[in-house]
Amino acid sequence: MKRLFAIFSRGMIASALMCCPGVSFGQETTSLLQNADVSAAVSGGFHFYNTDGNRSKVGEYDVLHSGAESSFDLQGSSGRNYIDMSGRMLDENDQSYNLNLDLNRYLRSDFSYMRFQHYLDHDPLKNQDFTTDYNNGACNKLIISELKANNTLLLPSMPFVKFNFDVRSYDKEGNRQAMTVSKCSQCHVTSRNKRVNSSINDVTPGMEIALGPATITYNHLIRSFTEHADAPMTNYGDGASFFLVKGLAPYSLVPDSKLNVDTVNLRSALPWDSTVYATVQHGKRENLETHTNATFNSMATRLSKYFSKYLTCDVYYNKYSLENKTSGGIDLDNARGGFDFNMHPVKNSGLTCSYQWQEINRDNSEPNSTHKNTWRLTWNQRILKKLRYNLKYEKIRVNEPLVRKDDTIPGLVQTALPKKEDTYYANLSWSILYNVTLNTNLRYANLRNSRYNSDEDQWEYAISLWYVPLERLTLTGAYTLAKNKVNSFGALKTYHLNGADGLFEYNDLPYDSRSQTWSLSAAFKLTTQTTLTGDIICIDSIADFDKHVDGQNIGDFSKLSIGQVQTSVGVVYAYNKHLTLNSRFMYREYNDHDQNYFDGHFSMISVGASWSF
Amino acid sequence: MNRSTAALSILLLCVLTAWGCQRFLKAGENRVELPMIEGAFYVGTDSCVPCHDDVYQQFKKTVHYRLNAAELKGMQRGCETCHGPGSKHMQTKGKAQDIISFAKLPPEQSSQMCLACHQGGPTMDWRANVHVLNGVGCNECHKSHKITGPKMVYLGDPDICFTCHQEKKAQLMLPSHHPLREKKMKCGSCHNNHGSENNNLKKQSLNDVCFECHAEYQGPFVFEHAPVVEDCSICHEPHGTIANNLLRQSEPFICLRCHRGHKINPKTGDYPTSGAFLTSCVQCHSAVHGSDLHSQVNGGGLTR
Repeated sequence: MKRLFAIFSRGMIASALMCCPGVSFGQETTSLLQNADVSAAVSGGFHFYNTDGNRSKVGEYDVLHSGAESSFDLQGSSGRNYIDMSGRMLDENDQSYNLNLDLNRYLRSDFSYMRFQHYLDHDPLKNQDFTTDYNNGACNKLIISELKANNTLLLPSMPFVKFNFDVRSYDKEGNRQAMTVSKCSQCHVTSRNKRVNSSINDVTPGMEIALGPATITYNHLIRSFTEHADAPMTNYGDGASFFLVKGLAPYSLVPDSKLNVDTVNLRSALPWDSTVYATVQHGKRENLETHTNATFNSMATRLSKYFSKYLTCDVYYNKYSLENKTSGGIDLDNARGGFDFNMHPVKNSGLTCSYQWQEINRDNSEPNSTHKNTWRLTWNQRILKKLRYNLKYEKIRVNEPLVRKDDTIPGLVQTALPKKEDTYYANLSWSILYNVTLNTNLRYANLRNSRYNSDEDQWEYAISLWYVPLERLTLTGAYTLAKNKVNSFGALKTYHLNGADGLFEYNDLPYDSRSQTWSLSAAFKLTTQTTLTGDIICIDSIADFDKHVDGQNIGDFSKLSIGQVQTSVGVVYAYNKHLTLNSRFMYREYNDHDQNYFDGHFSMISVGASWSF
Repeated sequence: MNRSTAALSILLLCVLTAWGCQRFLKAGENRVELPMIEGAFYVGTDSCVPCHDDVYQQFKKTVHYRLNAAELKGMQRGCETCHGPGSKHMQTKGKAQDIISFAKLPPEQSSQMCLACHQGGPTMDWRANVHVLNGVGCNECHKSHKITGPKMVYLGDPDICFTCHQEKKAQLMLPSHHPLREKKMKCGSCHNNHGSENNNLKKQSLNDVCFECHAEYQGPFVFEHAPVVEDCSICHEPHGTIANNLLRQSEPFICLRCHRGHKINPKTGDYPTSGAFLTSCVQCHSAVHGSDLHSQVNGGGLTR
C-alpha cells in the first residue's frame, strides 16, 4: 500500500506541476524562489528521566528513557504555494512529523507520522488460587505508529471537482497479556505474553463535486486489518468428557479482517429558504479467518427550513442496519428521527426545542425491539457581551433497553441500561473584568430503571478562573468534581447447581466513585527576555464497590483509590532574536492508597536550545 | 441489497431535486440573511493595509490569502471576501458599522459567512452541529486572520475544546484515559465538531469510530457479546475513568449488572476456588469483545 501511495503521490505532483499555472520549471520557478517568504527553527536538547513503580499508570504513554531530543519547524510561502513542515523526536519510540504542502491550491497534501509507546498493565492474578503466569511481572508495552496522508487535487479545467486520495497506516507492535482458563475443573488461569504485530491499512479515494447550490462527495474506504503474530497456545489438558477443548490449542486469536465502505454525501440549498443534507453508506466487514461477513447500510437526511431570523427548524431521519451473515450473529436496525426548533425570542439569545424518536430492532439479542424518546430544551443568552450562560434539560424514556436473559435460570433478566434518564446542565462564562474571566458549569443526571432495580446519580461541577493581575503575570486555576453513585441489582448462582435452586439475588449493590481535580498554572514574564512558567495538578479519585457479597469483602479487591500529583516549572530565555534557551523540570506521582499496586513516580529535567532563522 | 438500492434511490432523488433547484437559485445562495453594506463598493485589499497592516501581515500567511479563482467562486479576493465592500468604511475613516464585523454578528450569521465557501468536507452537515445551536459559531474556535495552529484553530485541539468542556478535561486526567493530555490524540480524532448525524461523531455508528484504531474487535465473530455489537459505550467511557481499561465501573460490578456471578457451592467447599469468583471476570472470560474460538464447557463463554 505504501508503494501504491508513493506512485500515486508522484503522479499527483507531476500532474499538478503540469496543470498549475503558478508552478512551472525554469524562469518562473526561479522567480518564485526569490520571492519566497521562509521562516524556520531548529532545536535540540537533552532530557533526563528518573522513574520507578508501575509504569502502566504513571507513564502510560511516555517514553521514560533519558536521551537527546530535537525538533524542527519550517514554513515557507511563495505566491500561492505554501509548505509547513514540523517534526519532534524525543526518542526512537516517541516522534511526530507533519508536512502540509499546498501547490498553488491545485495540489494539497497533508502528511503526518506519529509513533508513541503505550505501557500496559500485567495482571498479577493474586486473587487466584491456582494460576500459571509464564511472564510474571512483565512490563508489557505496545509501540503504536500512525502514518496519514490526505491529498487533494483540483484541476483548473474542472474547478467544480476535487479529487481526494487519503491513505492511513496504523500499526501496533509489542506484547500484551493474554489469559485463558486452561483447566476449567480447577479454575486454573493461564497467562502468558502475547505478541502483537497488527496493522490497519486504509486507502480512501474520493471526490467532491460542487454543482451550483449542491455539493456532493463520494468516498470509497478500503481497509485491511492484519495480525501478523500467531495466537498463543496453551495445554487445555484431557479434562472431563464434556470438555469441548482438549490438548494444545490456541486462544486469544485475533482474526484478520477487511472492510469496504462506500459513502455518498449531499448538501444542497433548496427553494423556500431551506437546505437538505443526505448521506448514504454501504459497508461490508469480513472476517478472513472464518470467512463470514457483516454488511451495514446507513442513510441519513436532514431538512432545514429558515422561517425568519427568529425561527429555524430542522427535521431529520437516520437509519443504520447491520446484517451479520454469521450463524447466530446479532442483526441490528437502528432508526431515529426528530426535529430541532431553534428560536431567538430575545436579542443574543437562543432557545432550542428538540425531540428525537429512536427504534432499535434486533435479531439474536434481547429485547427484539427498543423504543427511545428524547426531549431536549436548551436556552443560551449573551448579556452585554461579557456574560454568556447556557441551560439545558434533557429527558429520555426507553421502553425496554438491551437486556441479558439468562438461559439457565428462567425469569432472570438483567441490564445496566436505564429506562428513564433526566439530565440538567448549566454553564456560565463571564468576563468579570478586562483581566478576570470565570467559567463554571454544573451537570446532574439521574438514570434509573425501576424494573431492574437500578438507580444512578451523576454529579459534575467545574469552575475555572483566568486572572491577569499584572501585565506580565497570567494565572489560571480550575477545580472539578465528579461523583457517580450507582445502586444495582445483582445475582449469584451456586456453582454446579442448575435452575433457580442455587440463585441468590441482591438489590441495591452500591458502587460509588468520586474524583476531584485541582489545577493552577502561572506564566510570568520576568524580563523582556525571560519567561517563567509553572503548574501543579492534583487529582484524587476513588471508586468503591465494597459490598460484602456472599460473605466476601470483594471491595478489598476491586476498590481503587488513586491520588495523582503533577507539577512542572520551566524557564525560557531569549538570548537574542535567533537563540532561545529553555529548561524544564517535571515531577509526576501516582499513589495507590489501598493496594500500592499502581504506585509510581517519575521526574524529568530537560534543557535545550532553539535557533530561529 | 434491496435496502442499499432503496437508499441509493433516495440519494439519487435528492441529487435530482438539488439539480432542478439550480434553476431557481443563484450559486452559493444561503438561507440565513447575510449582512449587507448599503451603497458600498469594493476597493481592494491594498486599501485596507495602511490601517490594518498588522492583521494583513498575518493574513498573508493564511490559506484565505492563497485562494485561487476557482475557490473564490467569483467573490472579491482578499479582506473583502468576508468583510464585504469597504468603500464606506474608508470614507467614514473606519466606522465599525460600515464594514462586516464578525465580532458584532450573531454566531449563526457569522458562521453562515464561512459556510458560503465551506460547503463540503466536514461542514456538510453543519445544521446538525450542537455548537451553533448553543450560540457557538466558527469564530469561537477558528481565527481566520492568522495561523494559530492546524486548521487555524485558536489554542489548538484539544485545548480549545477544554475552554468550554472542562469536565471532559478533568475526565482525561483520570487514571484510565486516552492519550489526549499526552498530545497523541485530539478531540477531532473521534469527533466531527462541525456536526454529524451521530452526536458530532465522525462515523454513523459509535463502534465504527472505535474500530478506526481498535480494528481487532471489529469481527464479525462467531461468538459475540451483545453490547460490543450494539454500543461500546455501554461498558466503556472513552473520555476517562477511575476504573481500568476505561470501564464505567470496576470489575466485577460492571459485569454483575448484566450477568449473574458464580457462587461457591457450600457442599464442595472451596472447589472451585473462591478467589476465582467475584473478583475479575475477564481473567477467565478474557475474550470479552468476541471470539471465533469456542470455550471449554459452554461454547459462548468467551474464555478463549
